Amino acid sequence: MDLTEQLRLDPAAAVETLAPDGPAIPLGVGQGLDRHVLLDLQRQERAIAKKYVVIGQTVRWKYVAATLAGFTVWLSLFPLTMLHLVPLWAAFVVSYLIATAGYVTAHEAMHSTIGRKGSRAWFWNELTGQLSMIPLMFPFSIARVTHLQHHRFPNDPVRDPDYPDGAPNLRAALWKGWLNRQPGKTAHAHHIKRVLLEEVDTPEAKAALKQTAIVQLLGTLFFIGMALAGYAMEVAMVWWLPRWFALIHTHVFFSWETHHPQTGTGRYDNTRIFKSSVGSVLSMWIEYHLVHHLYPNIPMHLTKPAYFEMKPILEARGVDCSAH
Amino acid sequence: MEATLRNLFKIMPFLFGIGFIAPMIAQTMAYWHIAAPLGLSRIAFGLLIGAPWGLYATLRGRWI
Repeated sequence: MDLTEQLRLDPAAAVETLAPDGPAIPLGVGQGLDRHVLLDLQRQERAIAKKYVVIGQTVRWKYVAATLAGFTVWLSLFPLTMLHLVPLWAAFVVSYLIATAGYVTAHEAMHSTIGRKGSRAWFWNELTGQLSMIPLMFPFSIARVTHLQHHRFPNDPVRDPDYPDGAPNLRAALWKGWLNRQPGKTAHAHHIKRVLLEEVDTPEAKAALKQTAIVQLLGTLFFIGMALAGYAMEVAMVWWLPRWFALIHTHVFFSWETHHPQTGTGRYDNTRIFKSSVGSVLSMWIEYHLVHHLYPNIPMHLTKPAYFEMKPILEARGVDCSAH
Repeated sequence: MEATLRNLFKIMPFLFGIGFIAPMIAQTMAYWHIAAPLGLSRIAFGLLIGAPWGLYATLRGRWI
């Protein structure tokens, strides 16, 4: 009921709803907000975002350092398991965590938060992206082009490359994570290929598709070569199985859960603020995903403090902030 | 080149079954000191599982 109607029906109660220090006409949330209020909220939101982007610039080296350390450890797992210096189960756990976390560091590089093109830090941005994606056996080029397309059209069934991750619940999402990685018709790769060729249709997208085919072919040949050389268990526990688990992890907890139920396509409803099924650490602080979609230049680990600063503004806009 | 790659990808699960799954089964059995049944060698046993499984994945488009 709006104020005019309220005043007509019960003037005394209507007047009481007006806070003494509030506006003469109470403002609604979300869609009910006046254009000037919306602009003011946007200005406040941008000021907070800018602050965290600047902070991000001072700590971006951490993503580079984490990538170099992670990749070195991951690579060393091959000789360490071959020489029986590290048990296979431990190698599996470490490799799975590195491959999963690698998506987060690569994700920063996808948004060029480590270094912009043309800057001196660009080299480190690209190196971080390339090395981070190797344990996932997924070229950085295609990861970047699909992810940026996802940001343009989140939850769009035709134009969002991540749309096939959608599922009604966690169990179905895990099953979908498996089905989407199968070699046949259910493969997510078919949707990605179509989106890149028909929707994105740039030389970079076409080159990324070719690189993906080459990388996956070389990766498979490496698995076969290692197995024929007598190191099948080692390569399975250091790369093959951890990669599978990490791919399902990233698609379910970084993609499905962040956009579930994939109904909104607007700026404030295409993703959400939620509690992850695997907790904050294993979800790599992606629970504040709305902040990331609003301001992709804020590094992932800073979306949490940025969210808490933005929370009153987001609530005023009608965003559901009840999870945190 | 592109057609060759496409055809290679079509039969990749079968090649993976022979080239990776089969030796992995054989090496896992050796690691746990498990003998292959029916007097088979471990790699023959691995191929007996890996080859049809890879063929199934190639034809069906799914490993399971």
